Amino acid sequence: MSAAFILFWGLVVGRLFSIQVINSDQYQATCKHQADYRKTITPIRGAIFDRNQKALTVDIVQYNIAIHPYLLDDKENLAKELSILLRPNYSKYLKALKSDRTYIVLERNLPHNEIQAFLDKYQYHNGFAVERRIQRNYPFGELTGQLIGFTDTDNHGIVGMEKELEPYLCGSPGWQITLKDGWGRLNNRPDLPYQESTDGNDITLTIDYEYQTILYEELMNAFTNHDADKAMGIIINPQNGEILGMATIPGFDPNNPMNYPVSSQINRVVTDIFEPGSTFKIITATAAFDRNRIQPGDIIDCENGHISVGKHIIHDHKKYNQLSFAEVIKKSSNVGTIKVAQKIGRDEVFNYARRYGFGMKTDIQFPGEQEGIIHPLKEWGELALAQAAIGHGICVTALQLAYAYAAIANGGYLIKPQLVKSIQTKDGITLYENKSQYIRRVASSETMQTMRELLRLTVQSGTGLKAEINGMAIAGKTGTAQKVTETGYSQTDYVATFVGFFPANNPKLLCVIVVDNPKGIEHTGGNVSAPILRDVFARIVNLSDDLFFPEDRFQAPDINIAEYNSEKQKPSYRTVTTAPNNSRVQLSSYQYSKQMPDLKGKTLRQAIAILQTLGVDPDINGNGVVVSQYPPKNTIISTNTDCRIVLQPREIQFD
Amino acid sequence: MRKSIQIGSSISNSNYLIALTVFLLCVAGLMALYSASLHVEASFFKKVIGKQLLWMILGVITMFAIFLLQKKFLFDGAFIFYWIGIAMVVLPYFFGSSAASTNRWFVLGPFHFQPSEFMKILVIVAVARYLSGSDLIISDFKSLIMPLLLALLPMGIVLKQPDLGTSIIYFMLVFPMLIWAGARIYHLFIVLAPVISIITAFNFYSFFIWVLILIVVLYFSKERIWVAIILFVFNLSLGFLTPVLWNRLKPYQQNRIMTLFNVNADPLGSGYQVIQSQVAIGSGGLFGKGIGNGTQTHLKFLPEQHNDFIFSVIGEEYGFVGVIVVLFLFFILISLLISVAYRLRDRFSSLVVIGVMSVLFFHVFINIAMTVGLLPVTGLPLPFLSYGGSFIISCFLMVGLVFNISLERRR
Repeated sequence: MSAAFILFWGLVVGRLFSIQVINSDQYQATCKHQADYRKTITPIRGAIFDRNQKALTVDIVQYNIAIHPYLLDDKENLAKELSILLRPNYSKYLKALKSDRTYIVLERNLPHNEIQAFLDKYQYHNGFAVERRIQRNYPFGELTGQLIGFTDTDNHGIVGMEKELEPYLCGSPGWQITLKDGWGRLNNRPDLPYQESTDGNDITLTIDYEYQTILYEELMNAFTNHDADKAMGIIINPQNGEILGMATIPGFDPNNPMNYPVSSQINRVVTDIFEPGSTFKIITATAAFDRNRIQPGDIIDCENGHISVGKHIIHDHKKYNQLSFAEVIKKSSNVGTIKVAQKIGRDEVFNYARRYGFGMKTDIQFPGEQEGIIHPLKEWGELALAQAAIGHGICVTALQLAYAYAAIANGGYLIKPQLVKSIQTKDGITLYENKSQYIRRVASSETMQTMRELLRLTVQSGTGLKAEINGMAIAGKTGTAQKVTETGYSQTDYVATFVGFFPANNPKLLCVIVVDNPKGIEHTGGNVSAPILRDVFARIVNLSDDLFFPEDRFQAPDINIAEYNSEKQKPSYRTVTTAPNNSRVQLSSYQYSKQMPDLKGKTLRQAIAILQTLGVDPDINGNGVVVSQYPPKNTIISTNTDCRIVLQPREIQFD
Repeated sequence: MRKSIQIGSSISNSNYLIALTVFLLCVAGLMALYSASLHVEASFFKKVIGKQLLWMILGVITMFAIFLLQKKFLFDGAFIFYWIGIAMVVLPYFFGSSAASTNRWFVLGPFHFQPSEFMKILVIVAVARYLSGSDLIISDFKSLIMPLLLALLPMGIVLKQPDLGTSIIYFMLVFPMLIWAGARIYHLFIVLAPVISIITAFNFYSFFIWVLILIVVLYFSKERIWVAIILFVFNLSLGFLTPVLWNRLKPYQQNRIMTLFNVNADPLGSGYQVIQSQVAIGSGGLFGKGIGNGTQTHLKFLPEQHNDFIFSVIGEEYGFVGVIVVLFLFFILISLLISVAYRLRDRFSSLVVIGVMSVLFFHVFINIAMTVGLLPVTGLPLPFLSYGGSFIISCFLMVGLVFNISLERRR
């Protein structure tokens, strides 16, 4: 019998030795695996604001509060306390606390601010299960749709700025080690480690909500009126590169992204490439001026509207013969531009296209940017050069176009797009603050000054006339490109572009409007896009005195502003005048008739350009800058008036 | 059987050692219960550990109270007590509280008694009384019938409650006593054979091996040939009939029998308790996780951790070292009881001690084998360690009975 006992004992001890000593690791792993439960605490996502701290995203934080009644004692007092901390539902809470169930939800969807006291005391208390639910809303819906983007169900940004700034916005989740018991219930215990979540950082964008609204609405009007496929636009500050508005139509509501096609979620300003058409003529012009190969006044024979390049013949939209180069740009003559391009050569055209930033990314802080297409120089034949000069065979984004023109507007600097103004933690510590980033000088400031004058002329009396606003010195360039189809250039589908900035002498705003395939009678940049830009600027200048009275801050105008706004007479002519101690062009408008501008201090080139726009052919004496003129300024003149200017070398370089 | 010259002092020494061992086991049990009630927020005496301490004190008092009983009184009244006990076990069917839908409890004022626990002692005494009868010829097979009936009656009642574990104890405790009394092992084999036939019948190979053993044993038993043939055919037909009968039962009837053998054994299905118990013990490793650190215990992965699975708590928190200490203490206790029985001249006293020893042994063995997955879950507590009022008192009563009987001579 003793033997039997010892056998039994040996059996048990052997078994214990086997599971406790030999296979202990395996059981320990099982034990840990089934008990430890790492509960994540979702952080609150950072908010996105416009530049004036208007919230573009709103996070609705709600809490679901549940209890494990069997883990809670002193039920009456607790119910009383909860009815103060949460909702006055004493009897409901008491009933829940006394329930036999293992898990009962007390309240659902309680807002954060109303239960802070409860959270401080009971969030990690044993027996309570507090679930934080965060829902992200976009109060302006379609208005900021593609720009802000949206988050997926896990609260991770997947489109737009939400995606781009995910690392800043998402915050870091906290965790709480809880132990899952044999019944699958979670036990909070104060002695177990937990880490509070770190909320995401707040982002302030450079976007101005008001500008964005105006841009969106005007694009939407145009989209509807012209029955276009797409319309997009961007407003930037050309001096520092901040993007003030950026919109694409058709849009989508980020609150319900599933109701819209994915194609509507794309911010096409950044991602869509198109042939720029005439807006690209600035490349040839800049190259020509900057290399001193041509003066605005140089006369170019436009061959009665057609030029043969190799086997191809390229036409003008209107037949021209003798035009000054300023008029070539103003009237957007293809033949004239091509002839200049041929004169300066493909190397320079290519070089300046690259300098302007075409064919490479602007490095905007936005996902999905395209770099456009500029073929390598070695592939540039005669035709390619001719096409490139007039913006064909080349693809750009609206964003690239905006920053290329910004270089003209700001005196020659290619700058980096700024979309994020600052990033701050929820505690107010600034992590990032934008500052304008200079990339390179595209051309000399004098060249750019000339370019501004030409672009001003284009609006004043050229193809961009429909962008003009009384009293506002808007400069710009139109572009109408035939869309590329499988069979070559389409005869019916166009991309109508307008790039404009304002005020022309010291630009504060620059806007690009692109309308894809307008289907009405009008299809040109000048007729479709220019009016949109005019409407956008007209509304924006009303928002701010600084913009409405731009001259106040810089140079007194030659003509009283009151005269600009006179409704009695329509504007007939506009002149370019200059301010003597400011090398920048001072643009203002005359309303009654042609008047002799003040040319003092202007360079010869500038003076010629100005006088040419008035149809005046001056006598020139000397070189340098203008020191005297006939007739004196503000004299009413006509095309036949004799004009004489005297120039002397400049002693002090102002620029 | 009687070798020692200094019987008196030797038994007295054994009794002190038994008392010490029981004390140490109680301490081990309280340590395990302390840990199990560590995170329960209640006053001490409302916790399991506090209540257990009270039960233990009550157990010690009853242990001393039993000293007042004369052995002669016990001997003469053995059968009367037995029938009173049977009545007590049956009573819960009529007046008992049906806690957890089992008729185990007998309510007396604020106390809930489990008469079946005390019935073990009465079965021991009655069997010992019968086997120490002067006219009994133990080598005769017929002598086995009465002790077996004495065990089978309460076994049947308790099985109906249903309490498989306790009913197994009634049945099992008889066999060491019969062996001690000198019954032939062959007879015991014959008694157990039908049970084994039924159990092995569910698996062909196990039944095949069993039949081979049966043939061999019967061949060497020098049994009269026709008796041997009857026994063989009886067991064989039992083995063949069992699966057939089982399959003819309706599922609910099968379920009813299955519940009989699985009292609340597996609430979460397929061996959950045993797996968790093994995980608890296994994860304890060599030195355990330390007191209060057993996650299996505190997260209630471990079922019945105060009662039937208290050994797993020790295994988890005190490791291999801890369980070996507990097993060693039990081994010492059993050995001391055997040595006491060995030294007692009086047949009745000796058989009672062996009976007590059997009850404790089967409790310990079945319980621990269950926690490590060697035996199916039957629901038996571990003496002196498991929480439970009636059980702890009955354990102290049994030890008290041993003290009483072994010291009777000196009074």
